[in-house]
Amino acid sequence: MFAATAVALAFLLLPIVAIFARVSPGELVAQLSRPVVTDALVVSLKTSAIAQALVLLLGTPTAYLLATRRFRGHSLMVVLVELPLVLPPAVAGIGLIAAFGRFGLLGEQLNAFGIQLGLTQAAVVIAVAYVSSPLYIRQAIATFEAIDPNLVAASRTLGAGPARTFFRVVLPPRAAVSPPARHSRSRAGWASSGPRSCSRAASRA
Amino acid sequence: MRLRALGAATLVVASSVLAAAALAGASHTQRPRLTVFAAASLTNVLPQIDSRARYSFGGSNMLAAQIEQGLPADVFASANTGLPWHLRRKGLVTRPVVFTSNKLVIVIARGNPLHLHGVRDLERHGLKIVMAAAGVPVGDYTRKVLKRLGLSDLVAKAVSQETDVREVLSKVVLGEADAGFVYATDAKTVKGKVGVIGLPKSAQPRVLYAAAAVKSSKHLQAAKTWIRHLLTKRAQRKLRAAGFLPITR
Repeated sequence: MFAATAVALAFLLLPIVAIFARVSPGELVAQLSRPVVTDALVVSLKTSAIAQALVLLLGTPTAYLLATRRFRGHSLMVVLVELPLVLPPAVAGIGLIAAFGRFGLLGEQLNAFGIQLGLTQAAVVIAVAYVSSPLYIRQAIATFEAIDPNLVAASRTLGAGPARTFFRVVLPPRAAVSPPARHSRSRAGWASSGPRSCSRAASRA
Repeated sequence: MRLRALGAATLVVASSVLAAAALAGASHTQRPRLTVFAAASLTNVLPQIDSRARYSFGGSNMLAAQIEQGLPADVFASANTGLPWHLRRKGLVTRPVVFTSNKLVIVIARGNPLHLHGVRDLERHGLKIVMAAAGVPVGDYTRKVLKRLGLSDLVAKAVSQETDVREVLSKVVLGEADAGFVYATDAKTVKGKVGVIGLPKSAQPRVLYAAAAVKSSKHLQAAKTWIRHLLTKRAQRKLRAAGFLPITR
């Protein structure tokens, strides 16, 4: 088990180490002053920040619904949400163009509003959101499912409404409310959502 | 008696199969399957010239970088002479051989809905222009053309800098971009799907394709032969049919 972990860690870290072995930190810093590099960084930061905010905004209720309700077509919905994970990047890209491009399914409607997404930063946001939302929703479902339903029920019987229960009991990573250890640990995972949980889900996928 | 005949027949079949296998094996050792790293603009034509080779098509600059990093290629066919000569100076490839030529055109949406008729129309506000990045041969040629026409400001206006010429082409074919700078031969591969605007002859850069054998190749001799084959009448006819130009212009 430890040997396997060591191999996995080495496998995951080696490419990163190799990059830094090839490009010295001094050279890296020197490159940072080039406008091409700063441009790329700014665009990346801006587009991912917007994309992650959108994913958080729309993904959280989706994950909560899928974690707490059981209905017809529930498993199908989970599968559909996770579908983009298994799409090859090229297919996902062509799919996005076929959907949002000028001649895509929604192209005409968007055009009517004077919106052309192709080759804009908005398109980058859409692509990032498309790729990262399944990772986020997947992790969020798992985390919501790990919350003790008794806690939620208790909150409701004590007079808190659904919204208050969600924001005060379900969402925060609370060590104060001390449910069994299993729960507090999964909440801690929830707190550090975003890149880390994404990458964990990715390595699992 | 019957059994014996069957036995003899089996023997004949078996030996002929063996002989065929041996022959096939021999022809394999005579003519190995080469790995050819070639400019994206050669995507359609090279398999017509040799369908047996394994191809990796892409921006010539990326392919050159891969060869520098030690990727196992036998032949490098670049859309310029600079990159193979760069590798030559590093001792990585044999002397580059110029084997064909090309010219630049502008591709636009089919039916020309925006009424673009010349390169100067690209200055119109709000157009989505794509080109290849600097360093990619077609990107460098594009910059050269625009500089000669005094339209260098179009470079900064481009909405996307692509990694190879086929990426530029696909953006226009998909309708995401209004105009793109590609080779005449690329436009020809999507005939009917795009419109073409020519560029003034005086602005045309000298687009030369050069091939070189990779020195670390296990099949160096075969790679050199393969490159010589590009200069044969048969290969040149195929290149011409695809729209490539003869070397002496």
